[in-house]
Amino acid sequence: MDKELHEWLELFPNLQSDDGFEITSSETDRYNCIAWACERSDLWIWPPLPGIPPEENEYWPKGIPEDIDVSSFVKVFLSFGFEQCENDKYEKGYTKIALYVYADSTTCSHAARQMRDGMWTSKLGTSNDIKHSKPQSISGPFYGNVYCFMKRKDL
Amino acid sequence: MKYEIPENKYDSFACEDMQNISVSDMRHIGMEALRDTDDDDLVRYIYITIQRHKRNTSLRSTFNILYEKWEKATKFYSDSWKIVNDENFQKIISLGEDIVPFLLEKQSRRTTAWFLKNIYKSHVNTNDFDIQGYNTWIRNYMNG
Repeated sequence: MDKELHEWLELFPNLQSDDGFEITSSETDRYNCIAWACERSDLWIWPPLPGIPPEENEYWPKGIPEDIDVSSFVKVFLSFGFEQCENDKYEKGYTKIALYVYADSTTCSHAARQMRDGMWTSKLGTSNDIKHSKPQSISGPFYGNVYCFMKRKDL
Repeated sequence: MKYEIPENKYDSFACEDMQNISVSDMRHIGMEALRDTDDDDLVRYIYITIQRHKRNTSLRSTFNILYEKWEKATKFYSDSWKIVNDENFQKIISLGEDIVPFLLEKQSRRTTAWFLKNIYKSHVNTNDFDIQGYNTWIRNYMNG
């Protein structure tokens, strides 16, 4: 096993047993997981850094608290047309997303999106996009656990 | 221009420091130094140039080590706050303006901008970020 893959599996141990795991893009800091979950690859969606003017592609919707509590991210997804739903079960005609929080907190850590074939896709920070079989494949020591699911009609 | 040079430094730097400099660099240093200069100035000029070269080499090496650590520690975060609050990010910022050329070599546009803006902020030492001043400052670096 190469060194880089070993590093990945240390942080995301559930990927070890995920037969669908695949790296699907090169590394980029042009967009992040929240933007990718909203099907945008031109934005970095996160509350702005205090005292530092944002780059032109950094985005945070007006009127939503500039904090990293998951409730603020739920509002962000609502602003992109999502609504909360019960589970990660694939529903034809809908795109679902999973929101993650760090262990024992309500601090948002990540978002993943379900694709039309039922598989999931995640943009990992400034690193790559990956494909995984279920949202729990990237739960664990790094991103914590799934907090909730949301869905919207396919674009 | 007169440079300060420690007494008897010539022999030691000639023996120890110059072995890390390429022949083409020495040729360039020599050609520059030979113009309109006497022997004392020549020695001082070479000494200062070597010191600057050594410092830059050491700074680049420190920068590269910290940058690699920072990348490894933060590359899976979407959280911009975590990315800039990482201890290696903060250590890189504390290296100051001299690392701007190294950052400009990096391809990662957004995270590089976070570094540069933080360096500018500590450089001008103000809470109100002057975006026009920043743009001028960074343009000066980009134009060499």
